[in-house]
Amino acid sequence: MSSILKLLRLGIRKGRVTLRYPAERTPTPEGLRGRPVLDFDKCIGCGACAKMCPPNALTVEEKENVWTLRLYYGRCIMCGLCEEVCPVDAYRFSDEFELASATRSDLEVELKLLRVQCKGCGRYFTTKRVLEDAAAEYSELAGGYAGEFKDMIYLCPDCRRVKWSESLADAYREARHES
Amino acid sequence: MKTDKNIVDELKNRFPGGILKVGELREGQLLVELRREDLPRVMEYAHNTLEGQFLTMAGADYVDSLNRFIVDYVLGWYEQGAVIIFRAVVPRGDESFPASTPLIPVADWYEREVKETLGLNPVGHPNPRKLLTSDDWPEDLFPMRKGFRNEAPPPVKADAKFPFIEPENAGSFNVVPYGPYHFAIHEPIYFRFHVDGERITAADLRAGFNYRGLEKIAETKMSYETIPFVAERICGICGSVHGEAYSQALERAAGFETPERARWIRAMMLEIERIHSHLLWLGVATHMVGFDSGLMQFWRVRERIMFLAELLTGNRKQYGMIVPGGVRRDIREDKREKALREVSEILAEYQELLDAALGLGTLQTRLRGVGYLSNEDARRYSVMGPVARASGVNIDARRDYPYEAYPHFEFETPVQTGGDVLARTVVRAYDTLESIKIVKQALETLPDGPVHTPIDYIPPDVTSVGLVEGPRGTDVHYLITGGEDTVYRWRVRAPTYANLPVTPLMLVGETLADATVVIGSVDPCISCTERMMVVDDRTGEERVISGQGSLEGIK
Amino acid sequence: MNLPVLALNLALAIAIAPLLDGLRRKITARLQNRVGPPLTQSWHDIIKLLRKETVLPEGAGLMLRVLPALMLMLSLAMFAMIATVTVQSPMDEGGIIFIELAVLSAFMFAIAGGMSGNPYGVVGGSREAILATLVEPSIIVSLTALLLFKGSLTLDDASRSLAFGGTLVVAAVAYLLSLLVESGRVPFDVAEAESELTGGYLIEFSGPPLAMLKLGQFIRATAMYSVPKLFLTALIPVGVTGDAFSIAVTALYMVSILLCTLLVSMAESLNARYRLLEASKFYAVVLIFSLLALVIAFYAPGWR
Repeated sequence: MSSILKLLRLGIRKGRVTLRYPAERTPTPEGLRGRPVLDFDKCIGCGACAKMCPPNALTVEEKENVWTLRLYYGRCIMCGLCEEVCPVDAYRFSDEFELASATRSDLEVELKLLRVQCKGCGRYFTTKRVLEDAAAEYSELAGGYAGEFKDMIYLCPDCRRVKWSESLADAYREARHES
Repeated sequence: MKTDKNIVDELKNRFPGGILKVGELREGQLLVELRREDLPRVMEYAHNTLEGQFLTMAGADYVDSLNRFIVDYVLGWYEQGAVIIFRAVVPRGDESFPASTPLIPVADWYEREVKETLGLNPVGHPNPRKLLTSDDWPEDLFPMRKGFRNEAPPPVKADAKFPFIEPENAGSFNVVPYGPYHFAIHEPIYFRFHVDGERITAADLRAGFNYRGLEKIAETKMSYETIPFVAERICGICGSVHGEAYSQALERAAGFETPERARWIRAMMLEIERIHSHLLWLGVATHMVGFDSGLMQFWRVRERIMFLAELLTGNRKQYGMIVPGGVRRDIREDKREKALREVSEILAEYQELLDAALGLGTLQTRLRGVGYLSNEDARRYSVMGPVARASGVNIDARRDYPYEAYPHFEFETPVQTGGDVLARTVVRAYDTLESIKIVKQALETLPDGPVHTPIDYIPPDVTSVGLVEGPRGTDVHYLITGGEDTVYRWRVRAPTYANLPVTPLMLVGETLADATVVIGSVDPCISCTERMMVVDDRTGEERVISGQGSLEGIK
Repeated sequence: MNLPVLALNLALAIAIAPLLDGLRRKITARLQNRVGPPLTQSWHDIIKLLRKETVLPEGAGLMLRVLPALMLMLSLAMFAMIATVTVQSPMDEGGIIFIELAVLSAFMFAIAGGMSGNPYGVVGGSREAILATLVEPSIIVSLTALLLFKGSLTLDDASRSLAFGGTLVVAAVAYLLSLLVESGRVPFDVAEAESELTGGYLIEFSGPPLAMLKLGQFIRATAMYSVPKLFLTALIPVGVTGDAFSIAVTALYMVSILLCTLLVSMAESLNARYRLLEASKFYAVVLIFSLLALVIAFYAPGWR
């Protein structure tokens, strides 16, 4: 019997624990893993996030001169691997978690970036932003090779390999010729 | 982990010439190679006479390096903290091996699973029915073989029926279907009871409704770094346990030592998960016997734990914290202090509630004497977790196979001898209390340091076993590392997989009224038990394999 | 037959019964720290069900459609026998018929379960039959004790009598216990056990038949809750007559139905469900209590 009284007391003393949603909302702590938000201006189009994404919520499509990143929140598990791996911190967790919608397009985000054509073979091989980002970051390091660097950077990896071997071969021949 | 070589010596004495080779795996785990003909006798000796616990069994398809199949039986000795894998080779072309089930009934489900997923026939198995794949899955298509690719839907067999075991005097009104849809069980599973009035005289079980193919996905589409996220989603309430077991097995294979702070945080997250899982169970169990206020009160306290988890990890479940190499998030000082305060309050609330709820007369009447499992049966079927501890089997992987920061914490493992649902309730209730105390200790003694260091190198083709004490029992992940940044073979054996086959034993003789609470007292996590779905490679579409005829048998 | 009172009673019954169920749900919710559904929720449920289709399983007879209507009619008929807010009841035929209607409607559930063609329904129906056999006698006996005590087999006279005594108290307690037991709520919802039998005898009803069955249940419960008014009239001081008396009676009626609702809610939220065996034992105890009341009424009527 005493248990019944204790339960009665619990029921009365604790009051109402239900929140009158949506007027009263659950408090969310800092660091909640809500919807990851992509900053379109920051994204350079490297595709690392799509490679990591475990449920393939992020997919990359490369078609001619357009690089498309699609983020479908319906598949997102809010793990945060995209945020972890992005080299330019383009992802940020928001505290939005009420993502239900009746239309699929509400949950789809699409980002299109321009791709660059290789000056050698004409194939599209990376996005303009990756190139410009790399150019900005590494041109100082290039130092004396600034000239070659500028030529190489607009070549796709295969052409670059060929060009580099050729310039090595040229340098070798020159050195041999001199000696 | 230390191991006791005496066990191997005893085996060698008993079976001279039978033990082909004894190899050392990582951290004292042993690999004993046998001929397949010797498997049943050695298993019987090791399990019955030497009293090893049957941990798991896996088969693997070594198509690349050795071009043969292997079957690995993993047994554990909790008192010595030993793990021994018994391996036998099954040659391609002669894909069968003698079944151990007639001698040790605990191997039942495991051998059935190997049969249907790998096509290795356990000869002499008394019950070779399908376990996990659906009724109309073709008999000659083996999903876990390396040659199987999820590219096209397989040809389904129309009019497939599952052969249920029918006792002699079956009529149409004394067969009661329980599931796959039932208000009381929260996941789909199908029990078939034969009743005499209110008493259950026979029970049969069909699982496999949640089979998702996660092991195959891990082998083909994932990498070492992304598998923990899949592992976490094997189950909604014991996710961290799977992430931890996987990380533990992988780190063991790589010979990697997790940083200290990470070990503390991992132990803390596992205990937080245990608390929330047990509170959920207490609520559900009281609801099953009609005591809805119990449900509301226990879940009210549970909300506070969920908030604590959200504070520390960013999510209420599926914490995404435990990955190979450490944990993903650190705990800032102010959060740690807030967490400590929360934990103290939760402890007070929980004790108040436990006092009020468990003493309730009507509740005790419902739970006492129901669903009895004897100590012998618990041992014979290698039952795990609170179900085992309620029947007097004192096993706890935190204490016996110490991992993470547990050696540094003081805690007790409650054991009861009643063997009924009330005993299981008491065990879980006190488990929760101990867990809250562990979380407090972890928060108070958290050491400094990094929380994650990357694993440099994971050697391929290493077999290792990870053991974690989850809320439902010991979760065992068996792993063979692969060469392409993913696992070669990953076998998850959730504790419910060990406990569920025992349920028909507990149900016979009970009334229909108690069926729910008996099944519930095992705390079945059906999603943990089964793990397969098929993904279409080309379109990325997901499809659950089933057919129109698959539920016909339920009339 | 007093037609205006009959009309009043029926209207009241139909209007109030679901509201009382809503009140029960609200009280239970509050004791569980919840907000609970609005008081009119049970009304919304019935109206929603009336608009849905009925799906009958194979093997279920036409009776599945007819039975709920029958049940509803029986419950409403109970309101023809008692006085609610008036002193006069529509049909002054007596307490015996009221009791018989109550018992008959209880057995309707068992029949409904048996006809549903579903093993869960059959088990639920058989449980209900067993329990009804044990609990209805308690109701019969405690009410008979009351009527004997008040000296009249007519419910109207019984309500006008202001006599008070030991028998009244014992019979009142017996009746209230029996009421709790046959209300079909936890701890006594063995027959309808949702989490065990997925609804028991109710399992195969859907749409308008289910709506009528539920409304019938609510009305029957309200009728049973109306009876304690007869006990409570003993509290009216002697000498109060006329309009004051009528008002007192109305107030007591309200007290009666609200008190019973409160008792049922509290029992529901503070207990687990009894199994058939334990429930039967409890019911047997209540029956003995009722018999005690009857014996006292017979042999010591003057016990004040």
